[in-house]
Parts: sequence; C-alpha cells; structure tokens
Amino acid sequence: MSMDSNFCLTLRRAGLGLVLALGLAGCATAPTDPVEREIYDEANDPAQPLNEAIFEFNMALDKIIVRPIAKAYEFLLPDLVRDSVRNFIRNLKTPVILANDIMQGETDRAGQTMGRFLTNTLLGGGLFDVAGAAGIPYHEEDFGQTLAVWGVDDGPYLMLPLLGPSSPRALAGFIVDAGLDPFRWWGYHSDRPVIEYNTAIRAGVELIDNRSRNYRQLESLEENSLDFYATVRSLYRQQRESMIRNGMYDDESIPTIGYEDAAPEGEGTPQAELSSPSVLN
Amino acid sequence: MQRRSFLGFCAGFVLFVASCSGMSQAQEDAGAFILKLADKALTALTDENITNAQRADRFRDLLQEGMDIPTVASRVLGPYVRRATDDEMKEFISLLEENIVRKYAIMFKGYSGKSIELIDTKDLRGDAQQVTVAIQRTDGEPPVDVRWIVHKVDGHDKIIDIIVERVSMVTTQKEEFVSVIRRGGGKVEALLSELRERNAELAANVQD
Repeated sequence: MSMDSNFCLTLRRAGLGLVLALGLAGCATAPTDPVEREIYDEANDPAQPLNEAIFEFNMALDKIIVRPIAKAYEFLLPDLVRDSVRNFIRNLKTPVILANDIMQGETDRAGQTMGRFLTNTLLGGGLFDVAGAAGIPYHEEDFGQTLAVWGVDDGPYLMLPLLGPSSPRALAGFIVDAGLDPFRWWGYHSDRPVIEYNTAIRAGVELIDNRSRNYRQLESLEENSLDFYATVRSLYRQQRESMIRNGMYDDESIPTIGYEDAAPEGEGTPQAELSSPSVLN
Repeated sequence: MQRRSFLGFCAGFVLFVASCSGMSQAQEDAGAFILKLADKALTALTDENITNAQRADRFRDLLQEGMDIPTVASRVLGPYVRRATDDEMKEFISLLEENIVRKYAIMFKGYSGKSIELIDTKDLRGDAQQVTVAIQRTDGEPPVDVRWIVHKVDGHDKIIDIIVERVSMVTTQKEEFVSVIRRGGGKVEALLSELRERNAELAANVQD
C-alpha cells in the first residue's frame, strides 16, 4: 500500500515536472533580433530545452542498454540469421505498409508490397527475401508519410522518450499505424505469450537489429559532430523528407534554392550582397 | 499562313536542337569532372603505402582543386554569415578546409574499390549543375545515390554540395554550425574556437 502510494507520488511528481517543462517551453518567446529570429524559425524547435533533456535521456539509455545488446547481437549471430530476423519482421509489417501505399494512391508500390509478401511468405517462409533478390526491393511506408502526402504540415520538432526524433505529424501517424496493425489486434485476443506480446517483441527485436546495422555510422557521426543534437535533428528531417518522397527528387524541392544566386567570390562579400537591399531602400 | 507557321516551327526546332546540344556539352563536362575527381581520389588516397600525413596532404590538394570552399563556408554559416567579419570569414574558410581534411581523409584508408556509375547530369536553376552517380555497395543492398552540385568558378568546375540519399552535406553542416554559434551567444568566434580545438584533436589522433 505504502509502496503503491510512493510510486504514485513519484509518478505524479515526474508528471508535474513534465507539465512544467512543457509549460516553460511553451512560454519561451521567440527572439526579436532578425538573425536570431530567422535561425529560431528555421530550426522549428520551440520545445528545444525539453527535447534536449529527452535526447540526453535516450542517448544514455542507448549507451547503457541498447548499443551493448546490439553489438552482442551482431557479434553472436551470423549475417544470415540477422537478415532472416529482419526479413521476418519486415514481412509482418506488410498490412501497415500496404494500407499506406494505397492511401497514398501508390498503386505500383502497393503491388510491390503485395508481391513481396506473397513471394517471401510462400517461397521464403517469411525468412528469406526472395523478392528482393529478384529485384523488388523493400520499402517502408507509415501513416505519418501518408499525412505528408495528403498535405499535412509536420509541425515542430519533437524528441520522444524511447522513440526518438519525431513531429506531431509523425507521432499521429505512429498511433494510427498501431491501430492498423492486425498482428497487434491478434495479440489483444490471444493468451499465448508470444502472440500476446508480439507487438512489443517485434519492436524490441527491430530496434536491436537496426541498431546492430547502424551503430558504427552513428558513433562516427557523434564523434565528428560539434553539436550532435542539431546534427540528428537535421538528418532526421532530411531523411524523413526523402522517405515521404519515396527517395525521388522533385526539382522544386532539391535543396538548391540558395544556389541560384551567384556565389560570393571573395570573403566578406556576403555581407555586402545581403545588406545592399536595405541600403537601396 | 501555313507556310509561316511551318517556318516558325523549323526555326523553333533548330533553336531547340542547338540548345540541347549546347546543354549536353556542358552536362558531359560536369559529369566527366566528377568521375575524374573520384578516380583521382581513389588512386591517390587508398594507397596503403603512404602515411596518414601524406594522405591528408593529397586530400587537401584534391579538395582545393575540386571544391569551392569559400562558397561552402558562407552557406554553412546560415544567417550568421551576415555577422561574420572579414577576418572571421577568412579564418573560418581555412578552419573548415582543415576540418574536412581531418574528418574525411582517413576514411579512404583501406577503402576497397566499389564501382561508381554516372547516372545523369542536369542543369539546375542558376549556373549550377547536378551530377548523379550510383555507388555500388558490397553488401548486396541497393546502390547509394550520390548527387554532386557543381558550379563554375573562373571557368573551372567546383563542388558546392554533396547530397547522399537526399541528405545534403551543406544543410547538415549548416544546422550543426548554426547551433554551435547560437549556443555561444550568437558569436561566430564561438564556432571558430570549437573548430580550432577540434582540428587540433583530430590532428593528434591520426598521427602515424
């Protein structure tokens, strides 16, 4: 009883802290200096202090728990086994990916998703990517991407505990995808532990598998970055944008808007170039 | 009436063909420039028999030859470029060059040959061109899509951005640098001092 109430108290305090932090973050006013204002708007990260605290927490958790497990997983299991684990998890994502392919009007990609599922299930037992070897590559889709295709803005940057970088749009998508996943519903209606907890098991295994494939890259990224928080934010947004566009380039959106104005040749000219309009006014 | 439109059509067609051939000429140049540079880099930098210092020197030569560092430097400062003094800009350009050399030269050590294939080259708005290559991977995953944004400086092609799978190096670096300056109270000097420190660390780490 007392332990229960203690726990509740701690939880309530933590909750209160979170609410306060959110409130403070919400109250943070945008800078008035034009340069700072431009940077503040471009970052689109009004809750940055809170986001950074969560980022630190995630990084600590990753360092203590996730990365060591991922390294052990990579060390202990042959590539073939790890690939089969990944193929199995990916195959079970088919319903969610297919639903989002269709909601985005991507009939070709919906066909690929369906074709992959049938081929890999029937010929690969869900464990071997037979379709991939035959030239039908795997692709991800989620409802956050579907919302983007429908024209919904992503909103400010959000760092979620455990889940990592996100945005209101991506978070909404995450929740809808959870509802779309038939294997989750199957879990709710089963008493067999493996089935009952399949969603959590899949999420955990996928996390470890992904991490075992990218920890080297991320470590070197962290080592090389002067501001890892900002680097991760930038990479997350660019990669998300790439996924939304299915890796295609849209001429309008290639980050070249800045390249059309002739580059300043000598040092110092940028100032002159940029301040000249105000001189003219 | 009909004849006039026919003549107009002919003139238009000739112009169209002329502009196409002019375009493809320019396009081949930028594509050839990237392939040549990649080839040079792979020959010069993957050599097992050179010291890390030699590798860094060779990389620096290639970087100065192939990249428009002043332009990249002014882009990666974002809006803070307006606050940088001439002296700060000058120092930043050399610190950035040093930082790129220190970060990337070492990565060529032991790089095993993966084939690079030119996909296409196209004109962007302004005087920039985009060269797309596919780099084959050794682990059976789909090839990596790399786009080089190139423009002319005094008649020579120079790289102003490298985009790997839609992730732009300039954009990523800009957000990192801008954040460092912002944390340092909006002073460009804050970034310069971090870069000085980091470059010294990196130089100490890769000594032979």
